[in-house]
Amino acid sequence: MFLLHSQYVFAERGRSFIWFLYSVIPPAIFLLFWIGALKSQGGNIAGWNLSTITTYYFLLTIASSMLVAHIEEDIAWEDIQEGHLTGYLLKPFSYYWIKFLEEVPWRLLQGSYGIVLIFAFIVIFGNFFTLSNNPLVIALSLLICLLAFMLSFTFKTVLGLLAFWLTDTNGLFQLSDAVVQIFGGFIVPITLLPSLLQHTATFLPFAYMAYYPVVAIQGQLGISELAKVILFQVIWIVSFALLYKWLWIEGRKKYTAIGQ
Amino acid sequence: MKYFKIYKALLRVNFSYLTTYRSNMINGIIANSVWGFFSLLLIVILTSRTPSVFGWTRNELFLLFGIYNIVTSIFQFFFTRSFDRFSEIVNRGRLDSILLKPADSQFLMSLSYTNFTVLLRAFLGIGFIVYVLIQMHYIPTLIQVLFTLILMFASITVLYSIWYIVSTCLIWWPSLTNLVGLMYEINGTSRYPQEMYRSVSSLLFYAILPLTLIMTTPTQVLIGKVVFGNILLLISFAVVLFIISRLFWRYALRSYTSVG
Repeated sequence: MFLLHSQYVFAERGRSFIWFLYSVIPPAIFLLFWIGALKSQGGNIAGWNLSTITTYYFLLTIASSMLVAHIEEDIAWEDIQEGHLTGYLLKPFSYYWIKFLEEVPWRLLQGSYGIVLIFAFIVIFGNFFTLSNNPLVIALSLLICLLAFMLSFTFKTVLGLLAFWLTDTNGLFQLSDAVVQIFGGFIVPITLLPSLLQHTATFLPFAYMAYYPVVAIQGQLGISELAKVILFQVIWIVSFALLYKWLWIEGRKKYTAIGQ
Repeated sequence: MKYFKIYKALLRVNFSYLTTYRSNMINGIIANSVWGFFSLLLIVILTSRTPSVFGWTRNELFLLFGIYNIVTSIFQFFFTRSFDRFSEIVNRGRLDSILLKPADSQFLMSLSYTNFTVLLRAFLGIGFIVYVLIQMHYIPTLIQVLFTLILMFASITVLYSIWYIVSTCLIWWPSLTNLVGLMYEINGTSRYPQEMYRSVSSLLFYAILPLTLIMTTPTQVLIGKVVFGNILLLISFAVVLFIISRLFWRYALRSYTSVG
């Protein structure tokens, strides 16, 4: 199933590259803005300097394209509203895992574009790039990345399933996008947010989808902080998984499909 | 006069569509309110740690974002719903029926669909600008306001022309359905000071010169920091790019093969 979807995704590599550009442009612009802000503030803002902020936004490009799932529109519009869900209901596999295998090839291809971009950047501007060199930190960071994708995927699946009750989910998705952008560290690192937003961000799931994986790889977190991030990620994944289960059971009762 | 009548009829059809599908309307209102607030919150967050960037004070940057909200919402009101359907029209061969109608095809491709709810963002932008001007204890003269409006019109023409040129490429690559969506991200580059791009690389600066002018120039006029070179360039780009968009469309139509 994974190979079949991979084949489809590679056939759509042009479109996939454009999707990748969606994740490149905003971090690139924010980076340029912060370069100017750092220059005007003597090269350091709340512990962030040119090297750490550059690394942050470049890693964020990979995180946005590789770890952040975009399955919600597919579930809401294609499956629930257009009725493609019927085909999935007849299959002897879990809907969640089929969608998971559909999503993974997209993330791998777009993430690989990001990795190529980073390598090019390291070759040209190696001095501006700082990563952790502690093997334990790297191992835990990779686990955080894996959990981040699971969290993002489960959250977006839950969001998509709300289409069982809503006739138009566009407003909800836009609201979710805006909230994720602010509290997920996509505009600025969480520690640069105003204090109220900063405290709120640590209690919400969104920072665990991209912000914490990025700062973990940068080596900005100690072992105990990494363990705390993993714990929060697991709690959020389990919470969303339970919510998914409930929405899936209740939602199917609402679902109707027609055809001959 | 003929086109004015056609547009009036199209507006009436779009308005009745809006009032018929009320849940879509409510969703549109939610989505636009969210993105309007998000766009303003974005600059509040970005400037929370720095009082000035690239020679622009915090309040001047707020005005720039206010102008961005107004210009993009007026642009989206008139054009983006039509652009969103561009690839579908070309890909499914529906362009045939448009080409057969006794009206200019570029006019029909650009203005058939209207997005009423996006105007909310324009009102939000106006309110924000008035609030910031009061905070600055600055009252622009009537001439300044008039010139700002004229330049905003030129900015919308530049935006329209760039979008149309990019969308026209879909005649050759109809499967790139997300190409128009990328333009929303590219539009975002225009809400930052021109100096930001100049400071990074002159190549990047000249590559996106029209985009760097469309928000910066009206804002400069509004706050009395007139740069005559920018005004001349913006108006010239508006005229030249519009002509190019028309010529490019006519050239591209020669390659349209239709389906059926």
